[in-house]
Amino acid sequence: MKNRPIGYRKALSRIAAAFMLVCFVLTALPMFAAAAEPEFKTFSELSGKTIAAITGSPFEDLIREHIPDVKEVQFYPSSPDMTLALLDGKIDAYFMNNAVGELIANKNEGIEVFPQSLGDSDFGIAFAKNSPERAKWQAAYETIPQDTRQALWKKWTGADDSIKTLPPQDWEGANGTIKAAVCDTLEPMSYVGKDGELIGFDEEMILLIAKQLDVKVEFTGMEFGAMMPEVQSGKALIAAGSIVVTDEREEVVDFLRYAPASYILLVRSAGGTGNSEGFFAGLSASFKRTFITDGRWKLLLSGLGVTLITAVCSGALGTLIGFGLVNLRRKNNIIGNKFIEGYGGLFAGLPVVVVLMVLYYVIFAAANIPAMIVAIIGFALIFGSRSYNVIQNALSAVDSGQREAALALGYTEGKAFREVVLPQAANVYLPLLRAQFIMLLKETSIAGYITVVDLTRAGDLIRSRTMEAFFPLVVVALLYFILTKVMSKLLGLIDKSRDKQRRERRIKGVD
Amino acid sequence: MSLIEIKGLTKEYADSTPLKDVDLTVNEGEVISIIGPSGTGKSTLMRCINRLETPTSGTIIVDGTDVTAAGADLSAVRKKMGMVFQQFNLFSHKMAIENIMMPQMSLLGKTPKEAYTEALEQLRRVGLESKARKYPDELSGGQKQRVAIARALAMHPKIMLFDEPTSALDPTMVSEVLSVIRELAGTGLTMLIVTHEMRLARDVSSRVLYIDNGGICEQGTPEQIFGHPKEELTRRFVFRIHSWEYTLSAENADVYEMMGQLDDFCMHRFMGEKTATNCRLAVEELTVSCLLPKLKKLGKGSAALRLNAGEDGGEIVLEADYPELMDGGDPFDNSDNVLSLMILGKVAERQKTDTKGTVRFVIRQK
Repeated sequence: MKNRPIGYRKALSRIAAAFMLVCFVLTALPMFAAAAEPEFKTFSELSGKTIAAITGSPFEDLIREHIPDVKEVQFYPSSPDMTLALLDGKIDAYFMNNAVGELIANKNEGIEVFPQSLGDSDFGIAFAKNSPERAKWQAAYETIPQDTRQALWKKWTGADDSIKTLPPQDWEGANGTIKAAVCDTLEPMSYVGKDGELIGFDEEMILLIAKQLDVKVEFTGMEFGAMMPEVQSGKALIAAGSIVVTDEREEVVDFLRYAPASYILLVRSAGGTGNSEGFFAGLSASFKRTFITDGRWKLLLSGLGVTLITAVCSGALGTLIGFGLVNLRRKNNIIGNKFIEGYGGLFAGLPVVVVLMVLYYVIFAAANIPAMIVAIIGFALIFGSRSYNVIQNALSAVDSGQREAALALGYTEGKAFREVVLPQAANVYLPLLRAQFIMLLKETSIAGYITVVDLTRAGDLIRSRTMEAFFPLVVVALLYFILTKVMSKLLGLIDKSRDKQRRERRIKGVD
Repeated sequence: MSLIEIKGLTKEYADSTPLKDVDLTVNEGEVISIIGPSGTGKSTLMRCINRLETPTSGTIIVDGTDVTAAGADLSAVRKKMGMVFQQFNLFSHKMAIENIMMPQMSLLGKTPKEAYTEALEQLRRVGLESKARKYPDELSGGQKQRVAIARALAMHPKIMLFDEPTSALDPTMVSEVLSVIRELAGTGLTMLIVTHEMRLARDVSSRVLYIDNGGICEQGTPEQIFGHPKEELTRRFVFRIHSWEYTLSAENADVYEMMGQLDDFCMHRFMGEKTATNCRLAVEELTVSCLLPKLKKLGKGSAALRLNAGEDGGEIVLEADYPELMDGGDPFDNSDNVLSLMILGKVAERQKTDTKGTVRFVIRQK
């Protein structure tokens, strides 16, 4: 047999296979835990340990009050992230309310509820400070009988998932529609159900009140930390999703207290080493949980779609902006040049995520524009500045003699630019724009910060339900990998067709 | 009838003034070669004519249109003027034939088929029909320049401007381009050629302009310019005369330094060994036996020596100016140095001497 070097494709498939294997092994790791006692039972045992809480929660002082010499208090964006960190040993306990915490402990092998409570409070629905609506909602809430409230609590904290659906909004809605910002990763209070709709105790409680007020409710899911800004900026009337009332929070919003809450800690099980499921059984269970249960593949698929649409639209729009700026630069007037300088400087100096958040929470705060459109606008503005730089550099790489030769033949400046200079610059800027676009595609993963459910966010949502982090993360990683490869190939076709045209030496309109 | 009328053309840059108050009239059918040292505004003149450069002042009227006027239809004027650049400037993303077709379609509104026929015809004219579907980077320098000429000709211009068309070429490729230009010059097309190819200028031009120091220094027929230039600058340029100069004075009479510099000059001019020796002997005898003793005797004054050597084996002339040393008789009329004068007479031929203190020798080269 001839000793041939391994081809590009072969090498790629080997790398992919190795990647998958590593992922599967990692995925299976959390399965090696069994039900047992909690690892820590008293506050003093938690001395010198690392404890986590969800981003946007004001409980650091409370934690330090009970465990004075805690090593560090860390903040994570969602409960599945903390679950993962706990199982990995990155943290030793994490702070949660009783409703969510108990469910996590029940669903997750290897995680137990710490036996001592850190205090009591209430769950609350947040309104903007001094909102006149709060009193109306409070009054409507009072009319709901105690029995109904308790039945609701039982329904959502119970084990029977089949009855956990929301009633239809079948009332008139004579008093309009209100917006509710809800967290989408805190089962059972507020989370994403089958087919991606937002459900939970909080949602149903809100609907009960809304029915009394005869208003319809539009829920928008987001990370916990994003809810308060939504209410404060006026994008949403109310925020809910396992929010526990604290003094600190009451300083910035007003609450409608609708259920009692207590603070607990989640810790690892003590010394659990038994493997209850086995490697492949665990794998198939993970697969089922991530894809099949509740039709979650649909969520991933729609996330993939959102990522693709966001990237393609903002890429196309951004390229247009880039060309627009190039055109403006050619006019070479003082105002235009200053504008370009300011525009480029602004976006070169800001992190992408900050641009998105400023657009969403400040500039478009009042406007009723879907978050995805804001994301597309944000990414397009950033891509515009980048594509301008790429095209401008490519243009300056074209020999000035080309323009002069065209002018000398009688071309106008505009024609010389379009027909002679720009086509030659294309050889330089097309591959660069392609690389920039692939970068943009990956960067859209931060769109979740402004409530867009893209591929990354879809993975987060699934993790919040399956209470395991590895498998969904690996799937998301793989999907991004495939997406970027496919897009790169597709865009590469442009180069290929240009090459082919060049090779064929056909003359348009003659051959 | 004049096609181009230039009046008072001045072009200034921040650090130089390549053109100062230039007047020029170009008549229909003239072939004008523009020669002169590098960096003296020849190319600038061409680029001003089709307004690739904006003149600082002056007017340029091309075929009845003042191109220096604000709002002049430059595109229309430029269509009447083909320009050929030193660096060819073929559109690198298009094949040779497309380079010729493109402007016809874009600017003259021809259909692709019409443009193709015309382009092929022009390529045939410059002998490159077989390279029609080559990209510029697949052509040699000479071929590129011929395509560039064909591209300009396909627009059927009234005037052709050549801006050093062969300066960027390998010596082996110069002739193929020159023969195309020669052929063109015979067709009655009005042409302006900036060139360093003296033979081309001599052979094809109806008029030759010598440009130096920001202006037209001398102009005339090729016979006048190349045969009997009136101006010293023209003469030096045309005959490619190089000079070595040294000034001796009572204070500074470093003969060793002087002879060292002379040796360098002879070497750089590729003089034969015999010729160089004769130059050395002539200079040495002239200074050591005639000029230095007189300098010492007077204790003041100076004497200037100059050796002029043309290229291609022209005559080599040694001149000396010493008016300050005439005090008390010409230093040559001195019976003390008979031997020196004899040697001097062997290596050089004394041409003329006046009584004002100059002497001129033609160095013998055989």
